[in-house]
Amino acid sequence: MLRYIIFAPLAGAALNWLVGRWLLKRDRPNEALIGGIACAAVGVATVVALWLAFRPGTGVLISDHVELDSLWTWIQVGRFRADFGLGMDRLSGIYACFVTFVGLLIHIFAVGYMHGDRSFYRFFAYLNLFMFMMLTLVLADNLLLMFVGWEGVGLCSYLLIGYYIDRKEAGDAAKKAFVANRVGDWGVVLGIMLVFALTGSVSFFDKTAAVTGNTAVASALGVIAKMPLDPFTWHALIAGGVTSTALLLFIGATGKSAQIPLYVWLPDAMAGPTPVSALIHAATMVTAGVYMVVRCSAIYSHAPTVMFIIAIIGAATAIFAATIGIAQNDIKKVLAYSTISQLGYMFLACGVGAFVAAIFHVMTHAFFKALLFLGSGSVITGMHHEQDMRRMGGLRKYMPITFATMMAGWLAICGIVPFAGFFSKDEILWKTWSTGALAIPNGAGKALWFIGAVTALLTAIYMTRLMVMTFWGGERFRDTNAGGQADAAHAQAYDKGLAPHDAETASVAGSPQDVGHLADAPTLIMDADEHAHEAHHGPGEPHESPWVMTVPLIVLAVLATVGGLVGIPYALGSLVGGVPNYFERTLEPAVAKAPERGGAAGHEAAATGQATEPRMLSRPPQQVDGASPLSVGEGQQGEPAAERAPAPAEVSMERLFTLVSLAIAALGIGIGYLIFSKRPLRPLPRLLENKYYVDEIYDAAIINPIKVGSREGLWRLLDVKVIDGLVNGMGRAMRETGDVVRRIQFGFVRSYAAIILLGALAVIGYFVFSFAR
Amino acid sequence: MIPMSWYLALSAVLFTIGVAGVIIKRNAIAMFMCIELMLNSVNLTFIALSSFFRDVSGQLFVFIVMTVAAAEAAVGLGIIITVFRNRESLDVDDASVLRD
Repeated sequence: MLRYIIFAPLAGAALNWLVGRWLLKRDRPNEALIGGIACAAVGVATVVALWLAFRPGTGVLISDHVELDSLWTWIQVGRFRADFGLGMDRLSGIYACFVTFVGLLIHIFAVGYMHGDRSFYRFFAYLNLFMFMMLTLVLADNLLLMFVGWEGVGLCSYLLIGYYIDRKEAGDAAKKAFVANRVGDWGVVLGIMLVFALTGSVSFFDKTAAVTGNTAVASALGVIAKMPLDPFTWHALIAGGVTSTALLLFIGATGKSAQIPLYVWLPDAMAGPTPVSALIHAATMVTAGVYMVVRCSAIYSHAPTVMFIIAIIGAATAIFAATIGIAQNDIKKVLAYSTISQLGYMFLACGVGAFVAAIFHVMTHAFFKALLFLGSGSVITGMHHEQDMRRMGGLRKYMPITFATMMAGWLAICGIVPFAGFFSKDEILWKTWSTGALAIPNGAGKALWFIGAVTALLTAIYMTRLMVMTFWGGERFRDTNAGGQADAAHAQAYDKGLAPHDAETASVAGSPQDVGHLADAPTLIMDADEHAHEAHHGPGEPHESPWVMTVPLIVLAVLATVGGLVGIPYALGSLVGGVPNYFERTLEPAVAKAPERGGAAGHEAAATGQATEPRMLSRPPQQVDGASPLSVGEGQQGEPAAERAPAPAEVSMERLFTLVSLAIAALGIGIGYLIFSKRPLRPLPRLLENKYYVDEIYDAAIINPIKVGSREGLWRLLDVKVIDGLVNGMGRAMRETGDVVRRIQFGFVRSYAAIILLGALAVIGYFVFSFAR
Repeated sequence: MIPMSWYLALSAVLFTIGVAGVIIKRNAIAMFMCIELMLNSVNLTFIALSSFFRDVSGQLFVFIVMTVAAAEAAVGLGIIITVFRNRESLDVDDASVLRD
């Protein structure tokens, strides 16, 4: 069954790639059909994923069944074995469900957003290919196949960032993303090699011979889970053991998930179309690093040094990106830095051992950040491809649906109470404060919590600024000199033989600008309502987006509002009559527990071993609609921690911290509103606006030395002087030898003949003479 | 029955004429013909000895020599034609500039 999840999008990609150009070229552009193929392909994957996750009895998320699907043995060399096999346990089940579902919504949105694009089919082929790769990454049952998906999403990210092939900055951004990811991938490859060297396997699951069709495969994670804990020292990082493995894999995660120091590609990646930013650079691909860390939680829980590093890098990235986000003026750039910051939260959670909270935040973040990105896409379309927030303002009157849905996303990311982001962010902050993980020295948890709390405040401020600049305040889109540069990105793609688009002239108010929504382009998607809309106000006015774009927004807004309710922590659930934490209960058995300070190492290893391997669960987890969490399985060893009632003191503490984070969010919103509602264009520190000059520093410190070294050292010295010199020198040596040797020739053919004769006579004479004797 | 020595003597005479021709003649075609003469004198020796010793391998060698001679004639004449085109002369002493 699992194979349909990944191969349906691949089939969609192939179909669109092969026939899409033909469909688009006919006199009646068949965008609905192309988009329909793409959406249907993802739709199949979504249905299958949800069915496998929730089917009665053996659903992956509601029983302890692990769905395995071994297609073929991919590589078998000596002891090394990698299958092309898929596996869905609870972790990949959650991932597969939200990736396919959010992906489906974004596909639908993209049909509207990309309307009129001249290579519409190429976009959807890439998008479907991305879904294939992402699902391969998530569902792979071994590290090597996961790495195939890992590289594949990198490729699709490259293709889609550089989708506007006629724009140089898009191409540059694509290359930057690709190169930054390569740096990280180097770590992943070495990490996988090290896992194999340590365990003799790269599989995530124990697979019996019946599943694989030939020999049984042992789980690498299971082997590591039984190993002794690595010591918490810096030396362990280079010792070549589990800690080194964890560090190398984490280097890959910093690349893919845009953490310090490799985050620089993500803001530039906004050069791609907005649905791409929503799908790849917010909801799914960038969380692949978190997925890998949690998937390999058995490795990380044995490497406290790396856990500590992850927590620090996560917290640092969170606050660093949040400060930059405050001062950006491009609506997508703000969201990009916000994504980096939220990814920092997720890694902070991983670092303090709260793997479940990390995945919870991944899921809620996928909902609300996809919503915010799609909302910004809707705004950009409505504003006729204007991305600069300084030219927006007062849009809530013109785009009521977009405004309402973005409100949900805004409240979710700020962390206001019933919205999704509140529960996940609050849980991360609480787990950071209260962590007992061996990896976090005493007191460090409190410091990390403080950083996280400040980041939450900054998050609320910059998101409020975004909302205020976009939806409230004066209508600045009529101003001629609002500053900033129009982004011609989206515009240039719409060349249907009409005059150049308005993006260059967007600052001139009232210029006829309707190219994004060609009145004469026949289409099945654009509804007549929009025409009426255009007639209703001037063509230069902002307008609400068509239904293909607003429906996904509404669905995501609902998810961003209620999606967090699946993971209500005990401290809050018990307030309202014991609502269980479904999310934690579902995921807890699938991840390893980080060792606690002062815990007995032997006991920990046993506990982790049990927790990592879903097949070894000592009892089936309860049904979601089960009875009281305390009634079943009490006291058994493999029991998830969430099911035990925490100490009352801890619970009241957690409630207090919930109030604190609510207060922080409210404070941030208040500050943001007060500061920016009066002066939305308030100048901000140049240091922040210029992103701490990190790009410039990287240029000076790394890129330029490489460039100069390549040009002067490798090209002018090594290539021209040494290698070319060697080859040319060989030729010259031959010539010069020949010059010397040819002097002994005199050039008369008959003389040579005579010499040959003499020689022959001499030989004959010799033989005659010697035989005659 | 002609004695064996006559064949060998004739062959030696022909070969000597060939050698002398190659050394004395300046005309490239004449030299070429002299080389053919030498080859054929050797062929004569082969045939005579083959018949004398009742052994066919000598005759087989003759076929090989003829084949090689044909190939060599084609290449050689090609060279001669090229030289003539370039120098308007078949005097081999003129074609002595390669070393400069």
